Amino acid sequence: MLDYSVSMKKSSRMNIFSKFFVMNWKLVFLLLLLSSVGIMILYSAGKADCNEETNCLISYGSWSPWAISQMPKIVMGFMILFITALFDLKIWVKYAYWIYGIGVISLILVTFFGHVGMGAQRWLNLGFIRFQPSEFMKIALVLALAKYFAALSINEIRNNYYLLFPAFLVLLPVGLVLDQPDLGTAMMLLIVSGIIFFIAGVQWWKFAIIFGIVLLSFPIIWKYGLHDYQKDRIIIFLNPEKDIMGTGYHITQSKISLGSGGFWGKGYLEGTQSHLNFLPEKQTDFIFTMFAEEFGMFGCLMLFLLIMAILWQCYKVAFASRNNFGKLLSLGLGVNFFIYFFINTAMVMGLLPVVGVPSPLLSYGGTAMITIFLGFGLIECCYVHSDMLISSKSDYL
Amino acid sequence: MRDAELVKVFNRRALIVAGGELFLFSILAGRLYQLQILESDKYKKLSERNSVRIKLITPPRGIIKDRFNVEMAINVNSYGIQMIPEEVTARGLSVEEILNRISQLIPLTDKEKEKVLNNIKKKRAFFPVFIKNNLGWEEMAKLQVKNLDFTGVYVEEGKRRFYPYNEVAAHVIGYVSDVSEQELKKDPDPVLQLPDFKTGKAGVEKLMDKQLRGSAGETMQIVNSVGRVIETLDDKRKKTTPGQNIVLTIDKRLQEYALNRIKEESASAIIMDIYNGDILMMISVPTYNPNIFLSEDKSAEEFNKLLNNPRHPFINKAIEGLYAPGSTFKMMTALAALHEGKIKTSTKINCTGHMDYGDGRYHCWKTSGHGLLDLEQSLQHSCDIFYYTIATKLPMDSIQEMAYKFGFGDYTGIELANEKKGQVPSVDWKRNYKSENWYTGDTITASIGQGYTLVTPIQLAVMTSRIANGGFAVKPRILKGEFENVFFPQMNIDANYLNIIKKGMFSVVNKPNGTGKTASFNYNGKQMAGKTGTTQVRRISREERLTGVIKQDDLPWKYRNHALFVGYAPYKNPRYAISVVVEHGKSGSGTAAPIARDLMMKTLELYS
Repeated sequence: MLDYSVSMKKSSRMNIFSKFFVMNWKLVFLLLLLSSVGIMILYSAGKADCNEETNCLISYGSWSPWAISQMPKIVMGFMILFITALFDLKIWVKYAYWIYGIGVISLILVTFFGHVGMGAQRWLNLGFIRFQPSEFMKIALVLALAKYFAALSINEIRNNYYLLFPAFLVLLPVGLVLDQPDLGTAMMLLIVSGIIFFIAGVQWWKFAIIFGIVLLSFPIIWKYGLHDYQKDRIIIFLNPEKDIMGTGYHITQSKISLGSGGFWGKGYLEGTQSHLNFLPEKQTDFIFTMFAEEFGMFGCLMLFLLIMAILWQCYKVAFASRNNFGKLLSLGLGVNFFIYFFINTAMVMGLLPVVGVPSPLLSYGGTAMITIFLGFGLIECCYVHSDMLISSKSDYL
Repeated sequence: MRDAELVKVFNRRALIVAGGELFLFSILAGRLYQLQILESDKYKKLSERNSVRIKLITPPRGIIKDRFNVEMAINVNSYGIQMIPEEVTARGLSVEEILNRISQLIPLTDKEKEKVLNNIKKKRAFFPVFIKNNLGWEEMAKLQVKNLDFTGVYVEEGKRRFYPYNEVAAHVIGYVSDVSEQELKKDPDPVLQLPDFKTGKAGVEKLMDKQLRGSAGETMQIVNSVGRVIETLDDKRKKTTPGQNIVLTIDKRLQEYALNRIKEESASAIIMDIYNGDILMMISVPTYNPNIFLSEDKSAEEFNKLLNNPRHPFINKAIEGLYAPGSTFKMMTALAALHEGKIKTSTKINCTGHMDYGDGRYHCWKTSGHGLLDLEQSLQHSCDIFYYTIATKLPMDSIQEMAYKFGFGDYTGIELANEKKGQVPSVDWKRNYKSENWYTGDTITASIGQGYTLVTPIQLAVMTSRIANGGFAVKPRILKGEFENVFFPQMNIDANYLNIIKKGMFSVVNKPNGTGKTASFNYNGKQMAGKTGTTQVRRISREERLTGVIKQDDLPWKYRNHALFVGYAPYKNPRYAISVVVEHGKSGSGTAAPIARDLMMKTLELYS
């Protein structure tokens, strides 16, 4: 055994001011950089004094309507990040199931009182903010699973009996989200949980069995489990040229935008596809496309590097953490962030069906951004408390 | 408890996950390479040509023709001037200067100029902006001559509806005008969205609007990445289907003649083929010029004048006007009585000028009386007492039944909007609508076509046709059908009864003391049979009757009697039926009959 006490940060004896200074500022800086890129693209997507009535076809970039209202959300996001980070890690352990419970309850509430968007109930109107419980659930589920697995020994993890409870933890929100129906979020929840099961130490062959069952049951899911618009999206994903002016329009236009960007891009504010309004939803799901058109492959690779740098910081926190909870939580949340980015990017490139997943910290919108900052706040919390030992099982109860 | 084994597993698997992420990143990068490097040229081209804009092409509206294919409603070229600001400024001229120059040739109001300038500000410099629409050819020619001075100004040709014979058949053809909000809501046809589109608002234009309209084609415009139209691919996406042409049964020559003959009156007239139901002529006066709805400023003044005219120019009196049929209804009463066996063709009744029944005294129009009359003579002199006498024996319901057979009380089915049904009363009718019992006095009034009975001129023409054609239930038509001859069912009315009625109608016009002798003519041996009708618009009070009835000429116009005439010709081998109703025309014989004579003579002249 190594002696960890040498480099201990003594987090248990630090007050919140010193905690603030020992935070992982590299990660904060990288997140600031990514958000700034987002603001930059939203500025380009903006249309000054243009509306349906004046019918002007071309926008030249504008603070309104998106960039200007995204900025306070980012500020709020960072505040949430700091506040989350400064809590004692044990508090998060203690309340992990409670938070999960809030997530589940709000998912149930959204089924009854939710606002319908694109054929799915997704929003809960809290008066001051439109809250998307399914976004919040992505964090809450990771938190609950991390708490659960952190308390188990390797033998317990390899015992099927101990997998029943976490399986229930996963399937409950997945079922509720599918009911909305929000296929993208359900997929994300399943993948993230799978990866947490994996890094926690569940054996390989169990994944193989589950994967096999899912593959075999796919025809049944297709027939009974999917809404028509979801089937449409999948069919069109496989065959985008079939319907150029209809549902396949998004993907076709998106590919034209990407492809015409070339290696160096058309230049900032020069993207014709987006500025001529050929590219739909350029400020939300298709923001990566807009970026790719203006900054080209070079810009995209730089953006990938930025994402990788952020992920690298998450891994560092996971490896450095002396408690299993911190390891599982920071790695799980990092993976969560990656999956966000991957699904969105693959989707606009035509590699995955359009399932309505925004690009993290780039897309315009509130809840997704707030929950991502909340996630990074938890990772920072793990970082600040990476020396903390949460050893006894009772700590996890 | 830190489980060393667990940490080892965690570290190993975290690295595997990281490897997986790197792998997925490389997939994304590979896709970027494929799209942005390998296929970039293809997408760059698509982006430049991007994208397709869909524009609707207005289908040409169907032409409306008369029975001899004379075009009554057509589409004419209309011209609009457009300016492309970019091209004006490229020559070093200002947009305002060009507008001023144009206004020297074609008057432009300050408001119009302001609108143009506003539109220019809104759009990019290469988008054409309309300066003025709906210009005539002359104005256009002026501009074309001076074309050199107007760089960047173009003439755009469009189509607009035009009615070359103006008011000649306004009520039949109707008119088109701008699409209303309601139509937009109810009708999903995308063509209605076109800014200049017009829909039918009256007459055949309204009734047959869907057929006349056709369906819009779609053109694809390829717009390059700065929004400039590069190429227009006509009809590439969807073919334009022009509207159907429609042939009417009316004869433009008769329409014109009739209009000139009765335009001073407030009247309507119909000439109908008694066998196939073709409406050869249908006129309602005063009328309007349908072209006023299409001029740019809608000549609001003229329109308001028409709207406030007490003689209702916008109403087609031939199908919408409701009148008491008066003596023209006597044929129905007589037929009902014959049919019920209440009289024979030879029955004679003595007319003393009045008849007392119950508490009332009923007067003949001829206060001195007609003496002993048979049925034929009763029609000839239009004796009222004859019918009053019948009415005391005849149930009202059998009169109603006969009237229904001849087309009263229901739509004739003519293919025009807003037709009225009219009404023929019965015992039940009065109980249901007036909550009163039916008295024999009511039947007496009804027997001479007064009281509750209301008919339209088209119904009168149908009745006359059915008498003249020997009892076939002919229906009128305004759209020339596929077949010249149409079969109509026989109504099974005894031919002897119809013949005695026809004889009576012949005497009305052609006997020296017939009430309709003002309608008599002899055109190459062809003569007309008919029946006059004069209906009161106001009641004649007892005092008035005692002191002497006020002369019609001394009454204000709106209190004068309506004048009616129905007839058919030639008497032998009948072919055409006519009905004329002159509102407040004083008397059937004085006003309506001479009009009928002229119109029928003209018809025979044209069709022999």
